[in-house]
Amino acid sequence: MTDKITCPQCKTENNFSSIKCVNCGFNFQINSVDSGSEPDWLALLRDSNNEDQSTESNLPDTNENFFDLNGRSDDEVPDWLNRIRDIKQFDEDFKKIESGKTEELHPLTSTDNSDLVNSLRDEDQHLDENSIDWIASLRDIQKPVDEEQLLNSEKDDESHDEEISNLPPEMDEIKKDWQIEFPISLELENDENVTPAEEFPDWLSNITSKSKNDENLNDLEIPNWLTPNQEVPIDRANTPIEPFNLPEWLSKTNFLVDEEPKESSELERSDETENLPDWINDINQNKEKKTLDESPSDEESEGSVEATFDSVLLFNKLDMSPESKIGDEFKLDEFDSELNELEQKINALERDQPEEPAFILDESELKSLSVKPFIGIDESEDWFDNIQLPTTSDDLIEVDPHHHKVKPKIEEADKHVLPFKFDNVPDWLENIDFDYNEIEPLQSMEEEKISDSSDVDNIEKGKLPEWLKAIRPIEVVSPDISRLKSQKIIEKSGPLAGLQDVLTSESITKTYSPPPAYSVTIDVTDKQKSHVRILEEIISPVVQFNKSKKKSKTILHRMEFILIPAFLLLIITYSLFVDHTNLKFPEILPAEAVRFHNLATGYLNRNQSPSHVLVVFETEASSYPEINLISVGFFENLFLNNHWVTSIATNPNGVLVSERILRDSYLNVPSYNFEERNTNLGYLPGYGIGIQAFLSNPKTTSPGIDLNLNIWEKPPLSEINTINDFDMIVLVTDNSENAKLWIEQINLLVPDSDLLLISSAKASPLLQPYLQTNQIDGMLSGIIGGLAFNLLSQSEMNNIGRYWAILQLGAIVFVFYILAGGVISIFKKALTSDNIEKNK
Amino acid sequence: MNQDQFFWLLFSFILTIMVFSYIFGDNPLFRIATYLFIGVASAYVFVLIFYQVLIPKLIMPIFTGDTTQRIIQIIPITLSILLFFKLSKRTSSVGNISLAFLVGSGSAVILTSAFSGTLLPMIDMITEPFSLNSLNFQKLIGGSILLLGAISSLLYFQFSTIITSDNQSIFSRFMHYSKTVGTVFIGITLGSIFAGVIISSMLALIERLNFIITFIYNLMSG
Repeated sequence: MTDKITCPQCKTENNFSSIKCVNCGFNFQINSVDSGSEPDWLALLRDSNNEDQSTESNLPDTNENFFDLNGRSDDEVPDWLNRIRDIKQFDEDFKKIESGKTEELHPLTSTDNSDLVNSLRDEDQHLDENSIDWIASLRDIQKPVDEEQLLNSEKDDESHDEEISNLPPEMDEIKKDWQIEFPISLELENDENVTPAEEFPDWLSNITSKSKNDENLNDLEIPNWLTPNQEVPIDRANTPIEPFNLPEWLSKTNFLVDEEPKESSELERSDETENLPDWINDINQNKEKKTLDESPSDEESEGSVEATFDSVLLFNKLDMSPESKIGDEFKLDEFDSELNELEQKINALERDQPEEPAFILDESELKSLSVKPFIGIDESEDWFDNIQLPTTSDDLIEVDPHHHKVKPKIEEADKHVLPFKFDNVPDWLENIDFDYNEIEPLQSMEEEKISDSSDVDNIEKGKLPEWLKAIRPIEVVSPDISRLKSQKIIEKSGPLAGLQDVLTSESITKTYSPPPAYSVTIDVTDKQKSHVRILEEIISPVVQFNKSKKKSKTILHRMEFILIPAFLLLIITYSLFVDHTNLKFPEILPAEAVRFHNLATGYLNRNQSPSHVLVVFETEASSYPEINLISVGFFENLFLNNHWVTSIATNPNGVLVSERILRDSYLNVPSYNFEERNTNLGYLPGYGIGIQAFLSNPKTTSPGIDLNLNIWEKPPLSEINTINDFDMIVLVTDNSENAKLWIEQINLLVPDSDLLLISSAKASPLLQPYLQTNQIDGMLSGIIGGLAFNLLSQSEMNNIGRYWAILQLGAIVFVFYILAGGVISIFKKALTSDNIEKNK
Repeated sequence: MNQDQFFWLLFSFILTIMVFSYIFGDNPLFRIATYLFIGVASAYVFVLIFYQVLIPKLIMPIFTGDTTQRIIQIIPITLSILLFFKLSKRTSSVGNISLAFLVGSGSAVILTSAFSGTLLPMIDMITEPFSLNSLNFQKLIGGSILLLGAISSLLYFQFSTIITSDNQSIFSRFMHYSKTVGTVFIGITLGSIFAGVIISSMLALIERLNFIITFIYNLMSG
């Protein structure tokens, strides 16, 4: 164990005699120095500061009071200082390795505490130098850092501290106001004065102070665009290193800015002021003018420092206490006017430059740069795009967080990992392509500005280096979001007038767009079109076929409609003029007709006295010719035997038909006393109920034709009390349904009475069953029945003979029609089936 | 022939010609004749019912009848008044009372008469040829045909869905064939009725043509 030494950095075992770690190059001599005599880091700092003893007297008082106030012993070495020291050493070694030098590093020694302070200053400077070096080495910086320039910058830094201590009385007044407004924060600020962070380099104090208390107001938290004005005095920047060669997070630290040479910083500042927004320049000019007016004898550098500090403090003051007293020199109204101007200019910038790259440099700067720039002049515009400028002084408080919007991102990234530790190099630096010539497209950025905005799309975003992507603000990556935010409506009236992005009081209905017009066209595929074509082909012939069929059917129907009755009329008319004296009548007569004749003549004529015959007429007027032809022989027989005839009808027209038939029969038997022996009971209402009531009680049910005469008291009906008092009931009907009612009711109520039936030809088929069941005693059906009765009674056959002959001829015609119609229908069906098969 | 007879014969002749004009299709002459017939028939029916039903059956008993007849007359009068409510759709339900009475009483009368006067006699007639007392071959054949016709005609009016699938049961096949046989018998019956209608119509036509020819002949002969 004694001959090996473990590297505290990388834990690699090395020989005890080795000075540096084989793996990481860690200097073991630092740790091997006797801690009891003197801290090695202090010795290192002293050695490093021996070269510049003249700068010790220029150290700020705060640095001298640092250890005294803090009460720390010299034996205690802060970790951060160790780390800085290590990094410094590593960078030097790395630089030597790269440059091919193999000489060993000089051990650092220190002598006393005063050297420690100097060494701290030197450490800062060396650290700055180292940090610049390794960054420059990573980016192939051709210009090495000149130590003399660094020393000069150190001197300028010290002078700058002195200038800060000699602030003009206005700043004291502002600070007093600030103390009144924020005593707690002031206390914190005072506490920070005694913290070691004050003794740290500016960049480190910036980081540590950020990490300790973000809420603490600090000048370092001022946005980037204000940082150069505030932190970079003109006479302090003597280093040849240009701030645009540094990353953004480095540019915002003090130690880099402090090392800028004065002349270059002036140029830079002038360039920046030229490229900064006008409103910022106006503010700075106003501040400078005021400072110059108040202290015209002061140096220019002091004036610039005062201006920068004044502007910074003024911003802080206004942000936090807008209503506080500012002073006679600075009026709130003026600031409001400036803010209004700012707002107008910002809006103009937003309109004119909707999308600006994050880093835009002037042509002169681009020419002076050999490495990638990190700070663009228009960077302030990028972060400023996201700022919602307050329209009133009350809203200035809200502006303050936006001022720190960009910076905390870097601070948070640097809070835990220091960027100068070699092993903890950020990823974006590790992946840097050293040969990548990215400055070239930036050099042509001026041309891109001039070119049309449409050319912006041609820029390949994918070619951006990763380090640029890593440090790009979100607004650049997604510019549309910021654009959407900036397009939000500003209230123009009401209590919220002037505010942006609030619930609008405008009528929402005005913002509605008209409803979209939807097309009514149907998207039809080719397959559907083919189906439609097939369907049309199927339907169209059928429609045409039906039309032709209808036409032909109409013509044929008209021909049939005229020819058939005309031919029938011709035949019948011809038959009327033919002599029918030699007609041959049927020899076999229907049995029901014979029974009818036997009952009508034999039963009625068996008694010496006239019988009472009830004739029920259930006929329509259309049946009059047939019924009259059939029944005329029967009524003539009744009239000849002088029987009592009583008629009734359940059909209103039957009353007239009965009267007409009886009177026609009476014409053939003039000896019959028709008015005396014939009684017409008229219409019997109630259908089945009326029939049933009449058969049950004929006197009370049947009405009398003559209302003033009680017919049931006259001689023919005075003897009739019930239906059974009638000797015979004769039903004359052309309606089988009504005849059925009469038959059923008579057989039910008057089963012993004789019932004869005279029916038309159309009603007889349905009444044959009642004849077969003997419910009807006899029946004359159709013209054949009348002819049979006349033949049996040997009465005259004048009309019935003629009609019989004409009917036979007409029946033949009808048979011909039926057969012809059957044949035609068969042929039509055959033709239809053939057409259907053809169509199929 | 006096003038009145001539006028009515002439009027009858004109109306007959107007009705015959339907041979050439529907025309105003035919429509006038039919409208005239319907109008005259309706008016006649109204007059007939008013004078032969309402006055003697409904009104006269109130004025000429005794107290019992008057009290009894309240029922038909009330039922008759309720029938007037059928004129309005809102109050038609009130008239249903009278209709219910009419339909109920009419159905009762018709059903009893149909059962005793039609159904039982028909069953007796159908089964009579198969009586052992008067068993005859001809009657048996006639009776069998009659029975087959009656059963098949009744089975024709079956209110069920016709099954056309191949897997038919015996019962469904029997029903299908019986329907076919019933169709034949029903067709014969309807044919006979149609023949009777033709004969009746032809007789009416012959009578009207005879009237026209006679009228023209008498008119021409003076």
